[in-house]
Amino acid sequence: MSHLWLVCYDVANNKRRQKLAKRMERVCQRVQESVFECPLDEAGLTEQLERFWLPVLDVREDSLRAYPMDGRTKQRVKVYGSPPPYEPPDFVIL
Amino acid sequence: MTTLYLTEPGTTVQYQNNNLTVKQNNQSRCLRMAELDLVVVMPGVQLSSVVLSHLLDQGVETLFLKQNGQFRGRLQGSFATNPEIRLAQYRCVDTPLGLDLARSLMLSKVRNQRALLQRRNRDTQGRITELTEVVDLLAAYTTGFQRIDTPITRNAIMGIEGICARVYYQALRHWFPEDWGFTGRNRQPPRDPINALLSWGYGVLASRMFVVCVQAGFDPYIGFFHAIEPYRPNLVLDLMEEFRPVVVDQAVIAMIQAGTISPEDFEPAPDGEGIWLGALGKKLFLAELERQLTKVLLYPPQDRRLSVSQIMLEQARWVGRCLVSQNLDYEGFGLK
Repeated sequence: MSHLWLVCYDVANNKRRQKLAKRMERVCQRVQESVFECPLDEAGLTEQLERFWLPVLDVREDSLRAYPMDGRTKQRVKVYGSPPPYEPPDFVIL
Repeated sequence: MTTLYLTEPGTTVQYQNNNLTVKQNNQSRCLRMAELDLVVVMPGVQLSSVVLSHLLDQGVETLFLKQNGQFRGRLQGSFATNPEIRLAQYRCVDTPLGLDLARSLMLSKVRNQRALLQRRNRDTQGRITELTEVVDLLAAYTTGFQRIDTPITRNAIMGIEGICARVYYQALRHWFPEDWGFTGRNRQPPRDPINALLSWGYGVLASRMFVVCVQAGFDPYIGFFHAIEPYRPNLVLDLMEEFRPVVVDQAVIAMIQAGTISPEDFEPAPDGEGIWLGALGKKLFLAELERQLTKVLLYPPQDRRLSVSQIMLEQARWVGRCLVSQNLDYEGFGLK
């Protein structure tokens, strides 16, 4: 089952913030400056968090939140002024 | 969920960070592993061993095709399977139930072939006499085919199927402009572009149906109509019959009608015999086949809307239930 997570963060330090954003961009879709949509299942998200994202953060100063979105929630999302929530393509021919 | 086709020789695929990195001609593209449910690999593509292990471990179906579109093989990781279905399948070979099932699948194919011709017949308002005649002829055969009060033999099924196929393919030419030179079905090798498309498309469909057979718990090599010819995935051929017109023939018609493919997309085979689909043509055709497979249609047995590829799986599961319960309540999937 595929899932989508909405992940957002506040990172106090520029260097840490850039590093985190770069790592998140590898598996997520950036939708705003500090907001990402991540098409991962729970295990995948946890793996990314523990292996790649949390080590960058200093949780005394920074924070990160991940909200799950299921199929129905995703359809009810309201979006103005930016692309609609990320949908994987049906097929890719390379 | 995404289907990824890797068609270009020289492509390399690597794994990093839950992503596949596909490199070709100095360009690279990243795809999220979590979104993939099927990867189709044409000859000449290199998958790193790490990619292979992740495909296996994450249960991403991976198919390998030959240059001519035929099935070459697939990756098989450990998977959930139900031996009960396979045992029931073995028991039904050469039984009246097996033959009735074969008849049912063939009947459904002919019905779908007729539905395609009927569409053309409506477009042309019945002005093409030959087309109208074939539509009626196929209708007559399907009614004869349907009568289940008498047991049927494999030869009888084969006979009716053969006649229907011949007249169907001859009448199919009324879908195509004359300069495509299509007059009927020929293969091994195909001698005109439309036949090249059909052959290639049936190969791709067979590969997809192979996966469906495994997912539904079957042994792909033991069938009911095509039965037990060695070295041939007989059940795959049986179960794909009703989907040939639905997926492949419709895709060919759509491409020719939209003009997305032209005779320049084909080339003579290297040995001079027959005609092949070129590299770009293959990509275009795969995209059209995918559009047909992802098309969402009403699936009456469950009264919900499913994509054609999901319907293929549901039909196969239904066959499985018939075999286990020894009761033929199967109904073919029909084009409207």
